[in-house]
Amino acid sequence: MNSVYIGIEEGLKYLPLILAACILFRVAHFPDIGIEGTFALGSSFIAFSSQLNCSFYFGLIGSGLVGALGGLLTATLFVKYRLNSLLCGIITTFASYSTCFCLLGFKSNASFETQLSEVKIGLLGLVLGIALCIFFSTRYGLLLRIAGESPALLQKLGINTNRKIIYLLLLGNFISGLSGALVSSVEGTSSLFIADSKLFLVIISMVIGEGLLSLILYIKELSLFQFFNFSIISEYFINIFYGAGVSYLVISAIIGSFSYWIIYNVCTNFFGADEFTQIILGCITAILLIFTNKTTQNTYKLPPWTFIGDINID
Amino acid sequence: MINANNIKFAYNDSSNFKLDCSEFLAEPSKLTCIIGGNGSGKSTLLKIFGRKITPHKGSIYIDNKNINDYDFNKISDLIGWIDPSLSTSLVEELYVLDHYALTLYASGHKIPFFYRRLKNIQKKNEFIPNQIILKQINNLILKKVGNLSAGQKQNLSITLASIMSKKILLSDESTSNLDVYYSQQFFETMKAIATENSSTIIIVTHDILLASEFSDALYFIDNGKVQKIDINNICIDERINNCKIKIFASNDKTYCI
Repeated sequence: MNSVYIGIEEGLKYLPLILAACILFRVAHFPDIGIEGTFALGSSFIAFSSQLNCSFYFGLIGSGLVGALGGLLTATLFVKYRLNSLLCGIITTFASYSTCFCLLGFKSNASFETQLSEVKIGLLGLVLGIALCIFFSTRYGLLLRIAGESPALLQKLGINTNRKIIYLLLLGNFISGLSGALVSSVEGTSSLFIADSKLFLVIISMVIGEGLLSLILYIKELSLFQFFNFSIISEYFINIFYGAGVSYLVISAIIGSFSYWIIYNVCTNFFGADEFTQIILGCITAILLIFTNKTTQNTYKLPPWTFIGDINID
Repeated sequence: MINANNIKFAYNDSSNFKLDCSEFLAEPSKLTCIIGGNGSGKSTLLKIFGRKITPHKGSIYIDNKNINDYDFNKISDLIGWIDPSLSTSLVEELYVLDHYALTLYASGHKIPFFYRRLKNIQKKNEFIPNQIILKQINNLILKKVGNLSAGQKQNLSITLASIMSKKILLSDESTSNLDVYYSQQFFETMKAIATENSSTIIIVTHDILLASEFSDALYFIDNGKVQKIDINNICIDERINNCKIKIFASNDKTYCI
C-alpha cells in the first residue's frame, strides 16, 4: 500500500511535465526532444532565483518563461530554418544544459529550501489540465489544435500555420519549464542531471494513460461523459471542456502519470530491484499499445466520443 | 469579373500541348463552366486564372485590373479554390462542427468564444453565411469526419471552401467523386453563392448535363483550343461509336467528347 501511496505522490509531481509532453507530442505533433532541456532550465532557474533571494512565485514564472525561450529556439530553428524537428530539439537540449550550468553557478547541482508538497503540484497540474481543456474549447484553441493536426488544412484556408506551431511550442515548453521548477521545489535541489531519462518517462506515461483510458472505454462501452453521468449538465460541460479532443488527452495524461509511478513502485518493491521494473513497464506498454491498435484500427487512433452524436439539433 | 484575351501557353516538355484562348469572360453573379476531355487543358486554364501559372502570351484582367498588378496576398484574398484535395486534409479525429467553426473563423465571421455553442446558435439562424450551406452542414454537423464517406468528405470540403466567401471562386472537377444528387446540390450551391455574394464562379467539370443546365456561360476546350458555346444550341443525346457522345452542334460544326 505504501508503494501505491508513493506512486501517487510521484505521479502528482510529474503531472505538469506529462501535460507539457501532451501539448508537444499529441497536439502540436512535434517530437520535441528539447522538453528535457527546458525541464532542466526551469529547475536551474528556480535554484538561481532562490540563491538571489527572489520571490518563489517570481522564480516559478521565470522558470516557465525560460522554458518558453527554449521552445522559441526550437521553433525558430524548425519554422525559419527548416531544420529537422529532432535536430532542433537536440540543439535546444545542448544549449539548455550549458545555460543550466551557468545558472547553477558553474556547479553540477545546487540546494535550496523546499517550497512545495507533491499534493500542491498535483492540484496545480489538475488546474493546468482543466485550463488546457477550456483553452482548446475556444476559437483560438481550435486554431492551434488544427494547426498541429493538419497544417495543410489551415494553409488551404489561407491561415499562417508557422506562427501557430511557434505558439504551441512556446506553450508546451513553458509548462515544461514550470514543471522543472515545481519538481525542484519539492526536492529542494536542482542538478544538471535532473532531466535525465525524463523523456522516456513522459512518453511511456502517455502511452500507458492512453492505453488504459481506451481499455476503460472499451470495457464499459461508454463514452466518458456518460461514464461520469453528466447527463443534466453535459451540454454545458461539453461546450467548455470538449477542447477539440484535448480533454481526452488531458485525462489520459492524468491516468498515465499515476499509473506509471504506481506500477514502477509496486514492481520495485516486489522484486527489490530497478532492473526488473524496466522490463515489466516495457511489457505493459507494449501490451497496451497492441491493444489500442487492435481496438482502434477500424476507426481511428483515439476512442470515440459518442456523446455528441446523441444530441439532436433539430 | 475575369476577362482574358489571346492567352497562349505551352508546357516546357516534349508534349505537343498548346493552350489557345482568344477570348474568355466570366461575369459576377454568374456561373461559368468549362468542359472538355481529359488532357484538353481545362485545369491549366483555371490555374492561369488563379495565377498559379503565368501564360506566355496574353493578358488577364480581374475587375478590369491586370492580374500581374495584384499583390500575391491580395490575389489569395480575392480568389478561392474549391479543391477536392481539401478532403484529404480534414482532421479525421474531429467533428464537422470543428471544421465548420474553423472555416467560419478563418473567413472573418465572428463565432462564439466557446465555438461549440455554434450548434445551438444555428437554430437562431445566426452566423450563417448562406442558407444552402447551412442546410448541407446541418445534416453532417455532429458527425465525426473519420466516419464520413469519401463523397461526403468531398462534399464537406466543397462546402467549407464555399464558406470562405471570396469574390472569385475557381472549382476544378469538384464533383468527380459525388453522386448525381450531391453533384446537382453542388451546382445549386454555387449558383446560390454567385447570386447572393455577387461572386464570379468558374467551374471545370465533366458533367455536361449539369453544366448546360446551371451555367450562364459555357466554354469548351478541345486539345487546348478554347471556344464559347451557345447554351441554347446544345444536343447531348446522340451516341457515336459507342464511346463518344455528341454534345453540341454550333456554327455548323459538331463537337464530341
